Amino acid sequence: MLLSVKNLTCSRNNRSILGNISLTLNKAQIISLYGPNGSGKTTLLKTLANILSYSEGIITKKTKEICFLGHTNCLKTNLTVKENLSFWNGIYAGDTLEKAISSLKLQDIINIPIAQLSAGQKRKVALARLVISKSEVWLLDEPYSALDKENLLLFNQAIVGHLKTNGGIIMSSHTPIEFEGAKPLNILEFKIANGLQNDPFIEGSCS
Amino acid sequence: MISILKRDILLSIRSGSGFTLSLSFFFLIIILIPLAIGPENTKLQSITPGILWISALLSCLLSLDRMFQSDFEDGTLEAFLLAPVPLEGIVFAKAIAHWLTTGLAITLVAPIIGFLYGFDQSTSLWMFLALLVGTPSLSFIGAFGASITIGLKRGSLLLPVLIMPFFIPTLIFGSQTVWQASTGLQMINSFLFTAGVSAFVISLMPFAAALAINSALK
Repeated sequence: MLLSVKNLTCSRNNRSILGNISLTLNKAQIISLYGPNGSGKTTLLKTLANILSYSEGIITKKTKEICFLGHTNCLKTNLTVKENLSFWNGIYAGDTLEKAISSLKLQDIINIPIAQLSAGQKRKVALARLVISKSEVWLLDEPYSALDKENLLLFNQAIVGHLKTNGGIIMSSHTPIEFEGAKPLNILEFKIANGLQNDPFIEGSCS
Repeated sequence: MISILKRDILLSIRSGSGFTLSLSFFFLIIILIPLAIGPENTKLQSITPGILWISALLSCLLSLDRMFQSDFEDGTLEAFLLAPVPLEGIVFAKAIAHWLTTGLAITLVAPIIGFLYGFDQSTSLWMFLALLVGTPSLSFIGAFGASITIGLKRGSLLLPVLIMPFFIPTLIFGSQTVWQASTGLQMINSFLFTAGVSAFVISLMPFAAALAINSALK
């Protein structure tokens, strides 16, 4: 077991939006967290990463190494791909920079500033940070956004590689991901009725 | 932490918000003052210590608002929370990078300012030493200010108002050191107080800023 959650209640802006969440992430397992816009997927992932605090419940982690990839790419537009990845390699004291570059086929854009890349290429560079981090648990918030078919396959290969090393992944998306062995989890099961109208732009208001 | 230091210096050079902007601003104020109040040497020398420190302080303020804001906007700050490096260490490295690109650059040109204003070598040396030990406190206080305005609308306008009062001890003791040196008085006490304020701020502010960042993200 890498991560276990029992009766967790997640809040955003002092408002409980998800409750009674219990799940376990085992080694070499992938959980597909799905739900519509504003249903609280990002909040749950950030809470599991300990970026957001939670009001009730217990989160047990067997590993300190957790890597979260949100909607933003954690990249500096003034720096090149190599400079950005070297920075993260230094932060994680990693030795897998070359592996990350080759596994996501970044060689052709390695010396190009991030500002000159397309949205899909930026996403691909952001995904390389996961490989560099050597974290056992990856928490991915809609990682496939902006990726084309070819890059999606490359990323899936990186996922398979991570699972082979006994890593675990919780990945959010709007629909359940089509990945062999992925355990689907509908976030609406944990929604707390809060009297808000259904508005996809207000977090936690979707039913 | 070396990675953060290297990256922030590189970013400051690439974005043009580091050495060049701070130094240009600093020189502009220093050059404009004699034009405004006249070239009389004694009058200039009596107000220069204060002008010098106010210029240094304003130059440091220029790039402070971006210290954490760009990391906040692109998600890097959240990634830092999960990184195997303490947040206090990250704040420390970022404040040092800010000082290297602003405070140190200003300190290195201080002897030129001394020459332009007709100070003797001893005064110019004390001017250099006072800036060397005093300007780090500006970056570290600034780091705390930048951390409490993360994510705030118009945070860059609020930042100077919030942190200016904390600059007062450095401003008083730093300018006193230069003024006492220029008038031949004993300046060692003021100098030690300037260094003391810096030591206090450097040891405390990374913890306060890390706390503020944590609370801003949650």
